[in-house]
Amino acid sequence: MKHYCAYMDRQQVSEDLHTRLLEMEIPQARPRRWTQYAVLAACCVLLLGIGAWKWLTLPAGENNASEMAQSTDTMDALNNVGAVGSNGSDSDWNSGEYSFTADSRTDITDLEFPYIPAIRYGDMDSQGVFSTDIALPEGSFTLPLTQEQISRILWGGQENEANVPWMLGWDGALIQGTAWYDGYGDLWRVDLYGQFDSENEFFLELAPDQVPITCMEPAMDSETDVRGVTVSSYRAYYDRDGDDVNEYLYKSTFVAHNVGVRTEFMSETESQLNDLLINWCTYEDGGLSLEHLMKAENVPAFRSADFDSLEAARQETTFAPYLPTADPEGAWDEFYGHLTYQEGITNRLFVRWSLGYDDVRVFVDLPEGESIVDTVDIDAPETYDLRLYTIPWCDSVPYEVLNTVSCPTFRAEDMSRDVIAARQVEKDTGGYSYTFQVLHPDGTLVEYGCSGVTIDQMWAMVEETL
Amino acid sequence: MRPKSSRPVDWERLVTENENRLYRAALAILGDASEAEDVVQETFTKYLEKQPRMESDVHERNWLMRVAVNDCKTRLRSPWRKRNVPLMDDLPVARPEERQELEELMDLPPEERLTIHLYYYEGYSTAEIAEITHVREGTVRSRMSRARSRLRGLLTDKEEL
Repeated sequence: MKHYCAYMDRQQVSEDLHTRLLEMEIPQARPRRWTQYAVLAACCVLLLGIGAWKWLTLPAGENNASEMAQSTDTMDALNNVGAVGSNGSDSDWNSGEYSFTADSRTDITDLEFPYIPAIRYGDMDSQGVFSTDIALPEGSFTLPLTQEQISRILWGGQENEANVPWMLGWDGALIQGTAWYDGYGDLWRVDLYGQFDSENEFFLELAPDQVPITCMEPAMDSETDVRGVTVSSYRAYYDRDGDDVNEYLYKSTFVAHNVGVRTEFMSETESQLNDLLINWCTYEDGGLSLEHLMKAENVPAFRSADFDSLEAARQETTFAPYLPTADPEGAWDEFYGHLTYQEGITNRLFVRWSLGYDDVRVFVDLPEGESIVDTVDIDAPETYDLRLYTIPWCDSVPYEVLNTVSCPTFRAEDMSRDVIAARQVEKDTGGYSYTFQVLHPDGTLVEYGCSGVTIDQMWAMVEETL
Repeated sequence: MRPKSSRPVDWERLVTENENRLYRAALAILGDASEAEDVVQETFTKYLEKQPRMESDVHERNWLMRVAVNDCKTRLRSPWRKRNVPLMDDLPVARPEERQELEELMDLPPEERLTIHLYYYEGYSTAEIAEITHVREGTVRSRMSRARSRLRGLLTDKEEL
């Protein structure tokens, strides 16, 4: 590296740039990107006028300049995005992400370029926000989308050599998608996530015929009619990622071409990408399509059951060895049990006792499908022993062990009363709580989330399953 | 009477201390001296526009580097960026003894090149690089590892990660 360092040591900005930097003043407001699009539009018109034939004679793809390969930094950024996978568990967003390349359309006039609808955005605030829980369809499951499937969504169901219509302005974006199906294999929702760079990304939710259900939504009273489609929109401007720089957030909902769309664009700049998507979705010969995704080919077998007592739950003989043999001591006023089986994905039985602020919750997951569980090393107490840390844990627990300290998974053979003691936390409302998982030799994973019980009760509950 | 400047009071220090390090990082990523200068100018322009409040000089340095790196990444993605041009042709001339080492580094993918530059040349820690490049520290380490395996001959004189 010494030659590289020596080389770099010699590199300096030019005298001219140095002088310009020193004399630099606060710049006037930059031209809005609308202006840039206008310039681009003018260039395109000029191109059409003087040389469209040249474009037409180029082999497919030759005039497509973007060839940005997917890079690991964006892959990691994608990993950080919250997502829900099969049956409500975290899905692996690392898989199925694709770099998209736009076409080079020549029929620009047909697409009314550079028409960008003027969307009315209401300002988002906490007023009128409502939140709700989403009840997933029974037996729902997710499938990652292929690049071709995503591309067909964007091209209105058609196949196209280019991954993405240039009108969207998504050239070079990394996009991945997930389709949600109900227990009968009917499409319920499609999620698309895309990223241009660390500051510019989008999230789309699509559903057949209706705007996808969401868990939190401000009242959107700013509506715009775009080609007969009512588009509700709002925006926010705030420091989303804590870098002391505000970013824009634009959201819209509408139904066009039988596809309900909820958009969410995060951007350093203004709303053009959201506006362009609305334009494309409402365009007569454009629009999104979910037709090719409406029915899943392979629907995993599904079964669910509710139980109103531990005794009833223990009738599920494959689960019984991992369930408590009796109700926890005390006057618990509510019991709930539920079984969820989905072929190749999950086989879980859950029981819960509740009383006031206290719950005893036990989740038993029998091996089903692929899963990798990392267990903690019992000789490394820093990875699980809460007695080593002070509250708030976010300040005392090292980042690299935060996950395991939060909810460690122990091997069944490592379990002891002392391990339970390491997981004991005093609650604000009195008593203690415990959170941990136990991995049994046959691959069964039992998660305990309990409060309102003593350490001896907790240990007895675990010990009888070992 | 000279009009009052809108620049921060310590603007000269800010520019002098950071212009070359930003330029070198941009040069390492983009491999183009002219574009690297554009990045430096754009970075300081953003600083003037935002005038971010910084807790310390270190935060200030890192903020500037983060903005410069972001700008480089955006440029790399631009469909208008010229392709298929050997990076060495756009770099300031290297001395004969520097050329092989520089070529090997420039053969790395941009994100690995950047990581190597920030770590070995700028002296940033992997945690700081993670913050600057908006990736997790583990990713920085894996990039370092990949780059190191390709540059085995160059890095033997440096400590292991």
